[in-house]
Amino acid sequence: MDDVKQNVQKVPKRKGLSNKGQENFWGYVFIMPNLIGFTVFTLFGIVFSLIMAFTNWNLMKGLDKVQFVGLDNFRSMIGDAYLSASLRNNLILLIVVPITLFLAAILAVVMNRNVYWKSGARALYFLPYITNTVAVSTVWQALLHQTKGPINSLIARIFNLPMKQTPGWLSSSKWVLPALIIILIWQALGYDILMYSSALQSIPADYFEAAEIDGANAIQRFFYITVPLLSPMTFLLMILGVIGSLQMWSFVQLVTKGGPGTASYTIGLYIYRSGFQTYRTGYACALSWLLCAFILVLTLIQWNGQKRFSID
Amino acid sequence: MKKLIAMLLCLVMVLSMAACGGTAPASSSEAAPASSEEAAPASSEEEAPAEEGPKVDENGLTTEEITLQWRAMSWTDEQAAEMIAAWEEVHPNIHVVYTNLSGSGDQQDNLKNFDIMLASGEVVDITYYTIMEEYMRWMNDGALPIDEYIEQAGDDYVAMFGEGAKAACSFNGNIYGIPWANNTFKVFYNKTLMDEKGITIPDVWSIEEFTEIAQQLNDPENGFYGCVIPSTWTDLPFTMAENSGWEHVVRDEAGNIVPNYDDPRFRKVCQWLYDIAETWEISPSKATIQSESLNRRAALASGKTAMIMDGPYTLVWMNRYQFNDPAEPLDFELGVAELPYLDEDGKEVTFGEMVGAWYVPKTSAYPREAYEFCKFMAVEYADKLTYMPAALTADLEAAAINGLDTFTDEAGVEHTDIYPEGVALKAVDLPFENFVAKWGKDYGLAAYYNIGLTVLDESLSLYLGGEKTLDEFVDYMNETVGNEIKNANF
Repeated sequence: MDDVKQNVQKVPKRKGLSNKGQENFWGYVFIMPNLIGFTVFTLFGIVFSLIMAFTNWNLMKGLDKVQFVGLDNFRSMIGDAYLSASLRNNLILLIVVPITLFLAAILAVVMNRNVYWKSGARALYFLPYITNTVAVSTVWQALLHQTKGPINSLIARIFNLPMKQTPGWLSSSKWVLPALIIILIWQALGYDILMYSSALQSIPADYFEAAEIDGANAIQRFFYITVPLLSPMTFLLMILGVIGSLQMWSFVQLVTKGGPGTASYTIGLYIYRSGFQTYRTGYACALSWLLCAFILVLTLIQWNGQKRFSID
Repeated sequence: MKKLIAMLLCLVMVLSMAACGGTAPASSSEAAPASSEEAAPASSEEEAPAEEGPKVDENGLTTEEITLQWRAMSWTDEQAAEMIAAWEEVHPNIHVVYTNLSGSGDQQDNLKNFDIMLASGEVVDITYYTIMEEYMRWMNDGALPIDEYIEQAGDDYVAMFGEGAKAACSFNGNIYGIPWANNTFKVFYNKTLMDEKGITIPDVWSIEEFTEIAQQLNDPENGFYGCVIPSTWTDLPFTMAENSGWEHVVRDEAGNIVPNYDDPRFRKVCQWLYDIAETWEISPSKATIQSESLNRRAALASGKTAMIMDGPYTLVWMNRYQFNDPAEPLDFELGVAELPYLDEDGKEVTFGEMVGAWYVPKTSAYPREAYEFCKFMAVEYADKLTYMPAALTADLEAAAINGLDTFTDEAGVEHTDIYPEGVALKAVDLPFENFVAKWGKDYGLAAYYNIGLTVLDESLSLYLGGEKTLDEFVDYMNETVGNEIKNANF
């Protein structure tokens, strides 16, 4: 026993970091590459844009001419016709999210059964999601052409209308948003179907069998088993869809450039215009923070809804 | 081992970021660097022995080997190589590297990339853009004033380019641009068809006469239009209003800059554009042209229209259609007429404007040498590459013949005397008093004209598509452009 005590006493005290400290140190070293990247490329950008949102920064004049303007940029947003049009359009385009989710849920459930050529159909639905946006916009511009597009030819035939009375789609301020909604649903549907399909695979078949034995019909099984058990995926897709819709820029830039007039302007497009075309870069930063706040509020509302309604 | 890898990754990350960092440009030829073939002379102060001072010749140009960075999107690499070779023959120690910025094909996108380049401090010594685009950059401190270099070189700017060009290239009392090319607009028409129908276009004609002739020739049922309006160049039809003295914005009595869309001349052009497509149906509508990507020049070349309004560059396009693969020879004789006038004020007024100028961006490392290069191109070289050189000393006739009536096709075959005598010269002719001189266009408002033009470009289809009445459209333009002017950060 004494020998043991002597041996213990002989072990020299470790200098420097404790085991815990060493573990932490190496932990930080391991995440350092990512941390540096995050700090420089993300965190710095966030903090920088927040500061610049309170200045009159002009991209071309440079940072040495920057002046602090307090809340002027935020005050300028009130009565800004481009901004109000963009906000209105963004809100209207949000309709894409529930419609896509609804259609995707139904199609995913159908395709989850033993239907003919389901993997082919899944791939077809997914194709628009991975197709180049430029190609998509070119094809849709041709499809939606007022007097020579196949869609209007069909409408004219069905309703016996002269071509000039068919919807103007992308060239009409009344029809441009419906046209964009159709294109965006078509584009997003495949991704949502894929996600729903994977979620459906994780629902145990026992639930459906038990319900069937208890006498539940297909519609009841869909609404009382499938829909609740898909709710975590629904909320995830809803949050991603809302964020994606609010941030939309490149697609609108390619297809309509925000026109006719401001009929299809989105906040993303207006931020780009302010920052790079009219050099109101400080204002563009303030708009970015407005968009961020907007997304945050909507996400929190959805998050709250998820807690209340979803079943884990 | 894992720890070592983690440390190495950190090191690589830090080094990568250090390598990404820009370098501050040296201040100018006053700190000319030591011999170097490399482009960025950022650390020239270390390289050039300060006590010796810059080595310059009697004109203030460096005698050392330097390299200027030239970034633009108007020339192919082959054209630029020719231009640089001509320059280096005269200035063998001042090398130039050309970077073509026309990457994405979208001019706004390319301009944004260029702005970011300058904002991040990247060295660019020379560039060239269209006058409206560069005026935005001059007003926003994106360029260096060149007065000092003009003086050092002993140049007489007005003698080289004229008073009008000086006014167009100046801002706040400083000169920023070196004029390169002018442009005008004409009516290009199918002369063979006109002759067959016994129609002669007068030297001076009104918009009503233009419309009447287009109506006579119109045959939309067989896919033939009396005229095709330009849809990708929104401002072109409004040049008729500019010839009559209209501008997008004006100064009111108190000196405030205000939009000017409730003007009878603006209204008349809008109404005419609507009527030729919707009422008289002598032109396809703007929406049809845009959605079909209907090219007005191609429509003229392929016999689908009798007349188009366009710039002299139309002839270059006609050459491409005729001689490149697949070649489609014009089966008619091409004619050129003056742009019609809108009202009596616009009668015998010519639309002719500087279309682009060289300038020295604010990040130039060698502005003195950059100015010299720009001047060389504008004065010595312009008539070899542009059909309407801005330099008063240029051989305008040779430039027009060389630029429009001569064409080297894709197979390398040179075609000369392509058009009947006088067509190429008529395309660049400025027969009457220039609208700038007549109406005293205020170039100090150029950036605001740009705002107006941007909004007009975005919104004209609201009226032409029947979404708004003319009154509503005028109100919309005044309100939107008014707000944009208020918010402008110049």
